[in-house]
Amino acid sequence: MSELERIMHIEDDPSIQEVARVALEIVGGFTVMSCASGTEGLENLEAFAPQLILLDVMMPGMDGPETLARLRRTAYAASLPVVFMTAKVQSQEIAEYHQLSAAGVIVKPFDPMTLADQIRGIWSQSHGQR
Amino acid sequence: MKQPNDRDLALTKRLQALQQLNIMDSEPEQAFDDITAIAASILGMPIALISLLDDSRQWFKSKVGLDVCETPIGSAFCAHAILSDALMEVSDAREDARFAENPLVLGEPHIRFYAGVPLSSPGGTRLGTLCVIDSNPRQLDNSQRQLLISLARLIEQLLMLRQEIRSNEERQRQLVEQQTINQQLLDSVVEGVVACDAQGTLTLFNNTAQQWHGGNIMDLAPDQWASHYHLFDDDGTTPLLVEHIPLLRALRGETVRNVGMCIQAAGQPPRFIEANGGQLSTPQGQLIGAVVVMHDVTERRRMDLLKRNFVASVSHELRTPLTSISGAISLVQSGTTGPLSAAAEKMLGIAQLNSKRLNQMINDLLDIERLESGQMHLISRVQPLLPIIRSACEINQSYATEFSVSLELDEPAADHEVIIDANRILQVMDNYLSNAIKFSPAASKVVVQVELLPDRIQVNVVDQGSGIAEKDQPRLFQRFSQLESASRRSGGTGLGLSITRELITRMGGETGVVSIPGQGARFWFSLPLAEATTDSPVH
Repeated sequence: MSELERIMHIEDDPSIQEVARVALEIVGGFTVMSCASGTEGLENLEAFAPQLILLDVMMPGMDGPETLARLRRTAYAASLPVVFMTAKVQSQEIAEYHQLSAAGVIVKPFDPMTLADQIRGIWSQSHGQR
Repeated sequence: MKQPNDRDLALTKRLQALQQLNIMDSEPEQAFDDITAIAASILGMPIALISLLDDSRQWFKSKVGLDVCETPIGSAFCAHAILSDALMEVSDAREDARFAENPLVLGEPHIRFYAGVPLSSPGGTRLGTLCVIDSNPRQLDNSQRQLLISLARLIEQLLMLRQEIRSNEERQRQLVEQQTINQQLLDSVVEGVVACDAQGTLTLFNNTAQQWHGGNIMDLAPDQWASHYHLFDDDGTTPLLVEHIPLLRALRGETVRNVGMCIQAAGQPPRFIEANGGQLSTPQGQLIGAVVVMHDVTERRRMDLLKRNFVASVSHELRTPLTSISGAISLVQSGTTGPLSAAAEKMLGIAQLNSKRLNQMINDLLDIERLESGQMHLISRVQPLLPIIRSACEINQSYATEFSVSLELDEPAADHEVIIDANRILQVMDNYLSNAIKFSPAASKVVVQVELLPDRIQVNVVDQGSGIAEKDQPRLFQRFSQLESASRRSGGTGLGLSITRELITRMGGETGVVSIPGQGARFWFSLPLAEATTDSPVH
């Protein structure tokens, strides 16, 4: 299993982008690209070539699930691990996201000190399943 | 006071009978005129009359040979005739003491001969006579008398039939009037009302129902219905099977209660309705048909949907900035962004604590909202209870340590299975434990006891705090009650206990508290054992 280094974060809120960037880059040691929308993420997909995508669920315009569907139609991201980040916490909804071919779900508010570990956990789990 | 005598009673009865027949001053009728014509002709009399007597006059329903319609009762021969059932014959009025001075004898029409047969109402009350009059003295032979009597009976038959016809007409009129009122009533209600007979043929389709279906279905052949409207299930997309149509279900004997359906009429937006109805039968139990009343719930569903979306978007809107606040503070607190002074650490601690409080409050508010609007989905399954209780104690251990309180778990000999949503039980335990710990004095003990009862399992959380006054106990589990405001001052949200109660109730259990001021408190909840319940897991 290769090491996780490059993460793309698709999130419309600039504050969350910044907090997550610090949590992932400084605490976690990853290289992070932040994109403010699903469209921006798709545009930069091949150029940045992430190994995992962290995807906000509720975004204006193209929301998380729709972005995921688009990603799955690209050659590059057809089976790339994608992790949803959402404020919704009902167990039923989390189950639904897993059904949508997401590798994992991270609930807001997240703890920036453990975010990196959580992502690493999902990364190794998804590799174990291949 | 003069006692009512027989004559007065007879008069009263006569007047009532005449009233019922509604005959006084009525138009001449052919059937009655035919009879007086026959009487006059066959008996060779110049005058033949059907006379009816009220309290002041005799009035002629039919007359031959007389111009006047009535004469005062005082001079009426007929008034004497109705005193008995028999034919009254006066051969020569001038020779008869009763009539010699009568104005009708002395003057027009110069009555000398009179023969009258009394006429009785269908009820047997004598009302008047059929009489024949001549201005010459004479006598009738027996066959002539018989003739007059037969004709009188004919008149009585006529009176009876006439009354029957009139009361039928009146009943018919009332029926039509009632039907018109009923129809207006049904057309004035906002609900759609439809009914059918025992064979399933539509008998009622009120205005509202017509509007909703795009036309009066009763006027259309069944093969035309689909061009006016389509029916769908509750979801608005699955076509409704014919056997699921509420009216047909009602006809089959089902009690139709709040059955959802969607009507898509041509040129109208989809309409969601709820139907209620059932069979119609006679008091003897014979099936007449079925009726269904439909309520338009489209607007209510739209509001519910808006509300659900509102709750979801509020949740997101509030949590996103909170995530940034609490995340940013966390990163600074951890030293990731550089070293901190003690004062800075303290301030950040306060900020973080309150940010967590805000988050908890949002969770609680959303839980309450979901519970109240029926959107709370519990994923319950059969599982052992003890592992979850143990987990809860572990999770709250550090919180207990913070308050210098020791946390103990007292387990029963054996575990048992219950039907629960594990996460929600953890939430309930968090609520009870955090309250117990917060209100315990330092160095005291909080004990979690799990006891097995005949059909339930009960979890008790016992603390050694100051207890709760009896007057405060009933309102404890309500939102923002007294205890809750104390809890809020020490960091709680004021909603925890009411959420706990709702959740446990949803899972089929009960909650409560036992406390004596100064001697701590025991908060408990109980759940039915899985083996004691025969239902499948609840959602």
